[in-house]
Amino acid sequence: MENPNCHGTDQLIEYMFGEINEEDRIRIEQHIESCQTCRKELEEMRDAWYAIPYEMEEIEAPADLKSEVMDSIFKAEQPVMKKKWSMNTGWIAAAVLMLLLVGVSWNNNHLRNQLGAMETNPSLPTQVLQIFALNAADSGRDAARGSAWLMQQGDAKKLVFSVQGLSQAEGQEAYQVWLIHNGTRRSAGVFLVDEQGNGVLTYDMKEQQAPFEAIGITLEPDAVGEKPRGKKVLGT
Amino acid sequence: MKNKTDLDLMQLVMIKHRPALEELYDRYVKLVYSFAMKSTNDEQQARTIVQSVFTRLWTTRAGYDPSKGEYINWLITVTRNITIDYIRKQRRDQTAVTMDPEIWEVMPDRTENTPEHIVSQKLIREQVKRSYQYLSKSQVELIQYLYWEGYSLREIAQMRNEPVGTVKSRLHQTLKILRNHLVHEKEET
Ligand SMILES: [Zn+2]
Repeated sequence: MENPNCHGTDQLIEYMFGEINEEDRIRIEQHIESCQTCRKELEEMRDAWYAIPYEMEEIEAPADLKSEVMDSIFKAEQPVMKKKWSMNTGWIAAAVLMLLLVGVSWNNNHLRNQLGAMETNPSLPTQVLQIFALNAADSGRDAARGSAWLMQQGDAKKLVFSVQGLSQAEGQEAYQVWLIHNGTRRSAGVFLVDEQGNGVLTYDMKEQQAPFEAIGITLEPDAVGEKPRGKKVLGT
Repeated sequence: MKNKTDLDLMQLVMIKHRPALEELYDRYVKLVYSFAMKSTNDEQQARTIVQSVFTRLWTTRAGYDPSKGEYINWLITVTRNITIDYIRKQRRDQTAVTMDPEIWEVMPDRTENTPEHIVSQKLIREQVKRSYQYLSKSQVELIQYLYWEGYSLREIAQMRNEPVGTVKSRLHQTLKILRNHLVHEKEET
């Protein structure tokens, strides 16, 4: 503390714990910027503060706690899933909504079992094979962006999309994902976005399907098209 | 899931992949539960806190930013914030200040989940435990109130009927002892 402008450790402690008025906070912040002594002092105190929890004796959590926690989290999810497609939507819900939108009945037992099996097979590790960044097709709308993960669990491959910053579709409109291979496009499903502009989509890749090298997302007049008709909004 | 890094798992959680959340639970429930027990000393309350922490992981939009530090430290920060909020509500005292989020922001970069890092976590644990032997009873008590139970410096001063300045300088001494042992051990290795 050789510098006469330096604050005592008391003040640094007040600053560190936020027990200080706004004016002093700004003053100390400015001083720390330029004073190595005070910065070092503060850093050392923080190091010590962050080391405190390492003193804790770890004890086992009760065995029944996991199911209690998971049940409460995933039960709370359900109303959201039914109501609206959003980032809170789980994989199954995403897939169900996709099926509904493309006109396939959820009462199809075979499909349901397949999806159920994929979702609840925790013994198989999920691997991310590839990640695609999706950028706005129109540079004026660069708030729109997203990503797609190509994932593998056992023999099953799926493509999971997450997008942000899209405007909500109107009327019959829906966003549609296209997988592009040698210039041909095939649909990978449709989705909607929530009020915040977020949307997700899961697509199951079939074994015999051709590979793809690019992804495009369009805003379609309806959810049943086989070929892109609307404007491209996102792409790799 | 087992061979995924914490960061991989958090990214999967962000896209709502349930097995990733379960794996994080398996990895860290012991830490979160022990933390909550140390703060509340009550199993039922600790269970509630564990539930809140993992619910937060599932619903967070901000997520974990690896450029700001290690996952375990981020998780401890989240756990502490939730725990302190919870027990302050229990005390019907919402006037106290919260402190951690701002401190987290300025934490320096740390290394990723390397084997060296895991060794260093273990080392910190040993060092901190050892340094506790050098703390006086009133210093240990101060940490219990301030760190684990979330009382403010002013509240502690009031409870102990001491000037705030006394509490501050005791804290300074305490942190200094902890810090010196960390430094000392670091130089040895
Ligand atoms: Zn200074």
